[in-house]
Amino acid sequence: MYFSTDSKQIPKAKVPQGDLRDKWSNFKDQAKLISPNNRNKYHVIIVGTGLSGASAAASLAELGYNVSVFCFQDSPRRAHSVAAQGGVNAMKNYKNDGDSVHRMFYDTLKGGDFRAREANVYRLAECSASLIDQAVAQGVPFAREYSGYLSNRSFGGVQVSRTFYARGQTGQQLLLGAYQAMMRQVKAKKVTSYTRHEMLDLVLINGVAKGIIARNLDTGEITRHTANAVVLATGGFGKIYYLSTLAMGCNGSAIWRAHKKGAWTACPSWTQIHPTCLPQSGSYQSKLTLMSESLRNDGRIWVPLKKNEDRKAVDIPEEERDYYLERRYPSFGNLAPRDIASRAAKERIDAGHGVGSLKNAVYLDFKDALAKQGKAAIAKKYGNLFDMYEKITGINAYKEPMKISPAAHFSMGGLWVDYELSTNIPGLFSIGESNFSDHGANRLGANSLLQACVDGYYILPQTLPHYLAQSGKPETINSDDPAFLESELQVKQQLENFGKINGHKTVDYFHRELGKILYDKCGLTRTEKGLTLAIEAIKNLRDSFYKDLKIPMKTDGINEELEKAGRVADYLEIGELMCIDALSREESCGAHFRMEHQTNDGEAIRNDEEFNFISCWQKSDKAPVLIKEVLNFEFTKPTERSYK
Amino acid sequence: MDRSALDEIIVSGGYIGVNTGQAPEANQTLISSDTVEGAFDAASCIGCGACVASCKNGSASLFTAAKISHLAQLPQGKIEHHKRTNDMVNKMDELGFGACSNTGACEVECPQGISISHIAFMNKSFFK
Repeated sequence: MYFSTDSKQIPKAKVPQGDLRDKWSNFKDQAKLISPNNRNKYHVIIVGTGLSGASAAASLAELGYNVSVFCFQDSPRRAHSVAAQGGVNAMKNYKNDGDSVHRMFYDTLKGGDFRAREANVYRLAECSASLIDQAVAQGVPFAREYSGYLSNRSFGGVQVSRTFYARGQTGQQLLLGAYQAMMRQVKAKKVTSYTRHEMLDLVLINGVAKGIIARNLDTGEITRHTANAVVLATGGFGKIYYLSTLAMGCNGSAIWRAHKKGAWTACPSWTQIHPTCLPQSGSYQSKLTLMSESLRNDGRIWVPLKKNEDRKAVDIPEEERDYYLERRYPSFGNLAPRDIASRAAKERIDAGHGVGSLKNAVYLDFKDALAKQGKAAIAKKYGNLFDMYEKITGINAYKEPMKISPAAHFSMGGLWVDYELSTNIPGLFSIGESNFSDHGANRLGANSLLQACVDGYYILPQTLPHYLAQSGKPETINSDDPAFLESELQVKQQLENFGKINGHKTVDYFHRELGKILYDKCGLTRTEKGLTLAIEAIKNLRDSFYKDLKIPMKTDGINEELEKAGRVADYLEIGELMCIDALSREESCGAHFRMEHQTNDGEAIRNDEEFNFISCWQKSDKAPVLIKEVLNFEFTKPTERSYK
Repeated sequence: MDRSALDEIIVSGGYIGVNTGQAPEANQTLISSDTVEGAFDAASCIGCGACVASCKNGSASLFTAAKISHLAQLPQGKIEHHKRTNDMVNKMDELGFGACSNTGACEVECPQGISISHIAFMNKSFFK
């Protein structure tokens, strides 16, 4: 067996009492507080300065806590949230189209295929409206109508318009808002910012998180940092697939090092493969640029009816085109959720209808929208996306359709957290994409910016003080504590050992190989046989990594290969757990599609009787241990997730 | 690349002074589409520093002016505009960046197409 099950441990989700709509208020009413004059006695470490990390740092500092933030980028504003394009969801019902907190909650829960905690999802929808207010107050230039009112558009998986956007750079603008709010606290001397620092270990004293070990990427210096609580806001690990929409630097090391110290990892195999990315064009490529999902508002997706079609798109007549999303999902059409749209694309590509030089893409066509709305209207909505597409591919999408293809994008899985965003390690919190919480088995478009902001601005600033207040008087932690010294030593040894292997292959070689295994066996579709093969293949690859890796020896100063070695070493372990996680879940739900569990027409079959739980994985010296958090649906009834 | 000096310029005042939780309803202040789009043009700066690198004076004027202009164009950012401009420009000088002599090199290099007219706006505000 690749894993064992521990049915005695029952995760404490700490969901407050009361009706769904009262739970968050009930929590806030009863949460323990710390008086303003005592707050500066507490120190909080936040790792990651993307939307969740920066917003949490700003908000906690405004309350009066001392915060240290760490990022590996050369400025906090360069965290990867900056790359998010399309928008952020919020329940404002500005469109009078029947939106409500409950509808948004239900859309999100259903979008995640009923594999998330009801109370968490409800809270996300509940806090969404104030986020827009907050962002506007910070100066985020959301799109407006000519009348001056805020504008909305639609994203996949919903039938209302609740997405707010700032051209195609919503993530950048929200991040600048959070970053500026955080820098204001740097001026107030409540936040200390450590750039070019990568967290390499979490330090526990008596089982409680008390600090981190970080490496200065410029000097190679290893430093110890103490705190009364540690927050991981380190984003997702989709880069494990090598080819993905993420930047090269994005990694899973912070959460994995926490996992090795005892934090549970939840549902790591649930990865969102985004349907609208630029297709791979060669084997040395590492980044698949994302084209915003918002394009699916006006673009129609199709493939040629004829296999191995070699005519140009514009020469293929209407009756020889297969608008497969509109055909299969008439009520949602081109705005079907991401997992469904990606699988449908893969199905057509595998069946021989793919387009482009590698036959690995489908068309996204704006012909009809251009005819109906005119070029000016389309350019206003998507101008920068069309420009970006032309810059990269040389194709003018106003004249011929874009070619798009699915690519790894978002990690629904991550560190398990309770309702208070605390991991199972006291004092260790996880926010934003780094945790597993609100998105279940599939995230709806424009919900990731939302979740990151809501976690950082509204939830953590309530729940973290509640933890600090319960943990007794503020204590001063000694960075010479044996736990810190031991951690530091281990980190140094690991770095030196990478250099000593002195084999023949680069870090990127191993990363690429791992990515291929995962795309093939633990990607859009999974099978028992494939996953079993993948686990063995990853084990072999890991053995070979520790025998045949070659990187420059020096551990001081800049050494990018050394940084990557640590990240890929972790990926080689995370990848195995992803496959085990996918193997253990014998059902199809959301992005997790087991070929053994599908209907005749290729739709997912969920198994609520046996798999109505979140898989929490505990590290063990032997095989990983599965702990189940059973999901209670008190206020909704899980139904078949149909978008037909 | 060490971009910490650009961060320091933002620290000196490149924000709107609002705490989390204080914000009024977003549609309470109507802002015309043109105003928002104008602010966006300035806000789209990615902080890469190409403007500084291309400037023979080593000036960070385009970067600084873009932030000042972004926030000043929006009603919620107008209140702090003069203090913000003074603080940011003084900080830029203090950090040793050069002055702008209108060569226009920054505008040519800027990957986001940010206009040099923001610098004129900044200077006008600063000398007011």
